[in-house]
Amino acid sequence: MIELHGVTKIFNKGNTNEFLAVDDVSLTIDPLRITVLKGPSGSGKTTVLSIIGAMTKPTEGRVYIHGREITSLPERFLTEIRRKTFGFIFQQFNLIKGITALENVMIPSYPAGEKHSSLKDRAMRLLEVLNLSGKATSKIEWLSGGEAQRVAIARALINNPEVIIADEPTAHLDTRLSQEFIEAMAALKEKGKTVLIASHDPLIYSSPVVERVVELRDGRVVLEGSHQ
Amino acid sequence: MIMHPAVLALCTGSILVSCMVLYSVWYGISIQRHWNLWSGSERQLDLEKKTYLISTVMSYALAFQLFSLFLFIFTADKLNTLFTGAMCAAGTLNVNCYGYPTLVLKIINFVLGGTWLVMNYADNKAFDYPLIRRKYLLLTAIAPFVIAEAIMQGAYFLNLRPHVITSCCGSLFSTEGSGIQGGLAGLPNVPMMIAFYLAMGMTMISGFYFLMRGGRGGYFFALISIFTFVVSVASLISFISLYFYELPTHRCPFCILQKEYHYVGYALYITLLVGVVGGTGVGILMPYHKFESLQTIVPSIKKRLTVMSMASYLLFTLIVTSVMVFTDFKLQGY
Repeated sequence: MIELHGVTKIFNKGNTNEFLAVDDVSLTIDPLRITVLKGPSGSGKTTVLSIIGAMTKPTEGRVYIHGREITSLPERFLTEIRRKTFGFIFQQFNLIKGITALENVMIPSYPAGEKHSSLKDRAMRLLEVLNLSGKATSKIEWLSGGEAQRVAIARALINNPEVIIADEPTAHLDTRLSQEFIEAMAALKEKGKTVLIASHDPLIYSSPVVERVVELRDGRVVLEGSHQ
Repeated sequence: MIMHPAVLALCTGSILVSCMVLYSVWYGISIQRHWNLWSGSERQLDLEKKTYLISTVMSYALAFQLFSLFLFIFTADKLNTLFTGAMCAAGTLNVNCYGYPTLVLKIINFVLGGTWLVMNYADNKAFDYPLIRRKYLLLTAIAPFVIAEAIMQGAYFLNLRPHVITSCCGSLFSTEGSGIQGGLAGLPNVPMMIAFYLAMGMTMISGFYFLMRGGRGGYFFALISIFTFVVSVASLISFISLYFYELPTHRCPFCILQKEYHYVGYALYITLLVGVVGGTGVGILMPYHKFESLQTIVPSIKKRLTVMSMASYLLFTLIVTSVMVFTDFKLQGY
């Protein structure tokens, strides 16, 4: 379970360009469910995801994961939490050009020091599950949008995280690929993952597989709802 | 003031370290007053972010502080050619009344700074800042010494006048000499030798006892390691130095830092200082193994510090004993 208690995030505090991105958000995200944060651009979705994913520290408030407070943790502990707890899928996918799909999938596990051959086997199995085994040795720039998206999903799963965090994952995808993405997320949920998506794509937040929608506007939670 | 690069480096370094310590003490007051890990307030989160930066900066500042002891001795040694009568750092430090007090403060700050680094290391290993208030309290206690050292060192360098006639180490560290130096040089050889080996033996026994008995006897080991440090320094002046110089009357603790003696003094002083810092580090960490987040961390750090301290003292003993055994010089009759 992920809990946010009174989380506020102010960028450039005290400067002329001070910006309140998240304003006193308290939220509980249940495990093993698909939750979508929806809202217009600038509503604070990405900032909330970054705070939950331990990539940004809030200005105020606390975040708890399974009851363990993470916002006070020094960076060296957060690295471990990020690696073990979260798998990230970014809007632009952030795949590294010039290296193969397989290497991209393996990268997040390199710091763990796992034996290269076993890591490669795991990465290959993930690519097979996502029907990408034929593209394992292809460089990222040779892949289509859908293939790149699936490589990004495989990369998010390589450390077997509990929570998948996806930030506007369908922003650059057509309807068919967006549909495929949400189906992939539903499959992950069935395998015991918690999925948290930030999106303003109706195809995502209106999907029947999404169990909970939290609407953000101007950094505040304005509406919470459940599809089922 | 003599514009020697090392003098400028030492003065600049001391000013920077003092400023950092003062800022950290100021920040430490906020920690003492407002730290509350249960709160998610903006102030608390700000303190958490800043302590990460400050403890990192202070680690480097105090690491420089440790290094500056050797740079200071090296500089004093290098400058001896400017002063009539000085043959090594002993004479240079005697040029004015601030030299030896600066050296003593630097040694004290070496031990205190090293102890703070041990505490900071343990605190940083835990996830919930268990020693944060204590480490800033210790820093507050260290601050006056660091600032006094900076002032004393500044006064020493500012009052260095070239061509001042000073005493050489032969007269300062002689049995006829006055003051602490003369007193140390005049200590009887045989009883000091017995005291030295007894202290080293006790350190090793208490260290092994501490390691074997799962952390019992740590305070005793810490105390005995401090005692051994003091006895070793006194022994170095009273009888060990005689074997290095192969002269019955030369007891200078600085000449052994020179090239003629293969800079062996640096090895001797480093091993002694590492030994005492390791020992005091064990002592300072003794009460903290009961903290939940430090339960597995502190015993392992204490173990490593004990081994480090014992190994350093053992190395010191091996170096001086080998010189005493293999040199042609014998103390019989002196």
